[in-house]
Amino acid sequence: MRKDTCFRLNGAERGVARCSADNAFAVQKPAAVPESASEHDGTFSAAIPPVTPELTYTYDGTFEGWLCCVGESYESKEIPGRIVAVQDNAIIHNDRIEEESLFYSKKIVTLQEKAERVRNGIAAKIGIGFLYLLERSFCTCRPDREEEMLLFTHKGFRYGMRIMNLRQDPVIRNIHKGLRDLGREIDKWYGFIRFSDMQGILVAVIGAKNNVLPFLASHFTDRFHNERFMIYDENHKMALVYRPGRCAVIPMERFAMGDICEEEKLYRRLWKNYYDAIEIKPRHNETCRRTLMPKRYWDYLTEMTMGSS
Amino acid sequence: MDVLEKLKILADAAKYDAACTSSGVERKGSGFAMGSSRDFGICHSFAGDGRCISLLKVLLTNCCSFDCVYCVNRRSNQARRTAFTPPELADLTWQFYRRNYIEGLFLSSAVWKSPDYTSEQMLQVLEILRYEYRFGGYIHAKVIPGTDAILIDRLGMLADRISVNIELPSSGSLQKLAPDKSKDKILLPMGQIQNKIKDNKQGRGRFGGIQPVGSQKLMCKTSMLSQMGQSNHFTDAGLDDREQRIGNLFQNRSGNGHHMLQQDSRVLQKPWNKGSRSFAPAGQSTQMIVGASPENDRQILHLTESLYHRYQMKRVFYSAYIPVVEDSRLPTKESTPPLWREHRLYQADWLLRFYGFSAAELLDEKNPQLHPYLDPKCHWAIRHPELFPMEVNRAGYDELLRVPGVGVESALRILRARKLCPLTWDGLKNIGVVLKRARYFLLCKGKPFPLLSRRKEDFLLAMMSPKERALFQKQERSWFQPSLFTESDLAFSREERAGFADIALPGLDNRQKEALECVRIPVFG
Ligand code: SF4
Repeated sequence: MRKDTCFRLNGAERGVARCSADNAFAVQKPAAVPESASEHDGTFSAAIPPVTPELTYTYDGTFEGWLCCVGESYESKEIPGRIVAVQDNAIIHNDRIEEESLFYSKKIVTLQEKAERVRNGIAAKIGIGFLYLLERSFCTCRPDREEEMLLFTHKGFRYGMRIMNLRQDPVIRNIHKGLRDLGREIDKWYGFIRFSDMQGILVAVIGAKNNVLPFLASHFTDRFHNERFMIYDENHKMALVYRPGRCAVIPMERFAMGDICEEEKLYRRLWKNYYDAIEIKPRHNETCRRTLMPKRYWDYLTEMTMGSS
Repeated sequence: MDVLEKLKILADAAKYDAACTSSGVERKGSGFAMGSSRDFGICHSFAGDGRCISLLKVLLTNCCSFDCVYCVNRRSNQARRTAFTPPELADLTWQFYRRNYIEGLFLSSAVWKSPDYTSEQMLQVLEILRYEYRFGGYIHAKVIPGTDAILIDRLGMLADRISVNIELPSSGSLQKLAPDKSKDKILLPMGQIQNKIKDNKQGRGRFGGIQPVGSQKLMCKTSMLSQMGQSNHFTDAGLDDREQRIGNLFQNRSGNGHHMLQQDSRVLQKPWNKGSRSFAPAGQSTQMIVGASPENDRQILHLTESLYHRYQMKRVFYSAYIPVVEDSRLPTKESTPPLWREHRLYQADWLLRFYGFSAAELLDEKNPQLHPYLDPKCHWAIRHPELFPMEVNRAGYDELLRVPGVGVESALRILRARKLCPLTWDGLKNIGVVLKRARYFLLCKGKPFPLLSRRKEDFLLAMMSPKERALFQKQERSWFQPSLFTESDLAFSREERAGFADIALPGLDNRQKEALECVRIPVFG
C-alpha cells in the first residue's frame, strides 16, 4: 500500500494524464459531506475547536511526538497557535532555532502507545492514505507545517478523505503545495544525485530543502540493489545507507568525500565531455536550463562543478 | 583514438536527435540484474540548450554510406570518422548508469557498410549490456531503414523502445533530400514493429508486461519515518563511532560491483528475463525534421495524426532543422532554425494526444499554418465562439478540456471539487486554472468573471504568454491603431460573439518569418 501510493504521488507530479495525489483515495469510503455546504465560508472550519493563539505545544520533533500533539489537541478540544520542537534545550520552529521563552506552553511527552493510538485512529476513521500524507507533509519544509497539519487532521476527522479535494480551503491548499514541492524535489534528486565510486561503494552528497532522504530510499535501493551506497544530505545531516538487504536513514554530523581514484576521475571527465558535446550550441538557452535545473543543485552535479577540459 | 575522443565525436553527431525520453516502462530491479526503469521517466541533467539529458545518446559510428543532404554524417561530408567497439560502449553505459548519470542508453548509428551490418553491431552492444552486465535500465534503439526483419525482432526483444525515423514529412522530400531512403523502407519496419507489439500483448494476456524476477524484499519498505524518529542504528553502539560502523557495513565487499556481476553472469547465463520479456514495452516513436522541406503545418499534423492512429506511435518528435551543411536543396546556412514552429507543433501534438482534438479541427485549408502569437488551443477557441462561455459547474470533462487555461489536471480537479459544493471564481483559482485565460470562456454559477475587461486588445493579450506578448507588441504596434478596431467592446452576446471569430488576426505568412524567433528565450553570452 505504502509503496503503491508513493509511486502514484511521484508519478502525479509529472504525468499529464495521471491525476494528482488525491486520486490515491478514490477507493476510500465516502466521508460525510459538509451538511451546510452551501453556507460554509469556504474554510471548512465548522465544528473544529477554535485556535488559541497564545497556546504553544512543545514536542520532541519526531513524527510520533507530533502524533501525540494531535492526541492532546483532540482530548482537550483545543488547537494551539504554535507547535514547536524542543531538542537539546533549543526551541526549533520552522527549522530555525528560536530565542523567545516558552510563555504559555504545554509540554507533550512522546509516548509510543499514545502515538500508536492516534495512528490507528486516523487509519480507521479517515484512512491509511491520510496517514501517509501526514508522514510526507511532515518532511516538507513549509513554514508552520506542524500547525497546518494539525488543522488538516482535524478537518480530516470532520470531513474524511474528501477534504483533499477541497483545494478552495487555504489549509488544504498549503498542504497540497507542500506535498507538491516535496514530490518535485524528490523527482529532481532521483536524477541529480551523482554517485562516486569509492573503492566499490557508491557515495553521493546532496543538499536538500525538504527532508527527502526517506523517500529516495525505495527508488535507489530498487535500482542499485546489489551495490552498496550512501547518500548524505548535508542540510539535514542525515545519511541513507544501504547494503544488499539492509537499508536505513541515520543521523550523521559530518561527512567528507575522500580522494577519488583515477578510474573515477576518468568517468567524471567522460561525463563532463558528454555533457558539453550534447548541447546544440546555436540553441543555447540559459533561462531554460536554470528553470529546469535550479542553481542550488549545481554544487552537487559533477558536470556543473567540473571545468571544461 | 581513445574513448574520450570517440565519445566527443559520436555524442556530437547524435545530438540532433530530438527524442531523449526514458518514460513508458515501469520495471523493478530484479534479483540478479541491476537497474530499474520508471514509468514517468527521469531527467538526469539539462544541457546548456535546456534539453533534458536522460539517456546516453550516442551513435555507434558516424561512418555512413548514405548521403542524406541534411545530415553532418553523410558520405560526401568531410568529417572525422570513428566507431565505438561494442564492449567499449557497453562499459561506458554501465559505468554512467552506476553513477546515476543516466537512465539508460539511446543507441543510434550511421549506416556503416550496410543496414544489416550496423544493426548487428548495435545488437552486440545490447547483448553485452543485457546478458553480461545484466543491465535493467532503459534502452532506446534506432532501427535503420532497410534492416532485415529478423534483426529488428532481436533488437525489439532487448530494447525498451525502438524507433524508425520518418525523417521528412513527405515522400517527395524524402526522395529529394535522402535519396538512399524511401517511404516503403521506413514504413515497412514501422508496421512490423507495431504488429509485434500487438501480438505480444495479445499472446501474453496478463503477463504482457515485464515481470520482475524474484525481486528482493527490502527492509526499507517499512516506515522510514519511524526509524528516523527513534535513533536508528545498525548495532547498539553509541553515536560517535557511527561513521566507522558504516565502514564495517561495507566491509565484506568482494571487489567492486562490476566484477562481481561478471562472475555472476557466467553462472546465470540465461537470456535476459526469459519468459517475461516483451517486445519493445515502451512502444515505438519516430521523428521528423521540420523546416528543411516545404510542407506546411497542416500536412505535418495530418501525418502525425495518422502515425498515431495507424502505427500506435507513443510519440512523434519534431526537430527544427539546424543548418549544418550548405546545399542548394536546403535553407541557407544563415537561416535561423524554426524553433518557434517546432514549439507550436509540440503544442498541437499535445492537443492531439491528450485533449481529444483532431488535426482537422486545429488547421484547415484556410489556416494551414499554426498561429505565431497564439497557442493552438486559444486559436481554436477564438474560432469557436458558439461553444463559450461554458458553465464550469455543469460542463463535462471533454468540454472543460477545450477551455484555454484548463489542463488535464485542473479539469479533473474541477470534476472532483464540484461534487462537494459548487465552484466559485476564487475556488477555481486555488484549483490551478489559469484564470487569465479561462475567465473569458467560463461562467461560475451562471456569473461571468467580475469586472472582466471585454476590450478586444485586452482579450487577445490575455491569450498570449508573456513571451508571445512581448514579440507581438514589438512587431504589431500598428495593430492597435483605431482604424483596425471600430468597436472597442467585446461583449458575450450572441450577435457579437459571432463577430468575435473574424477578429482581424494579422496575416500569417509574412508574419511567420518574423515570428521565427518567437518563443526563443533570451540568450546569454
Ligand atoms: S543515414 Fe543519412 S541521416 Fe543517417 S547518418 Fe547517414 S547520412 Fe545521416
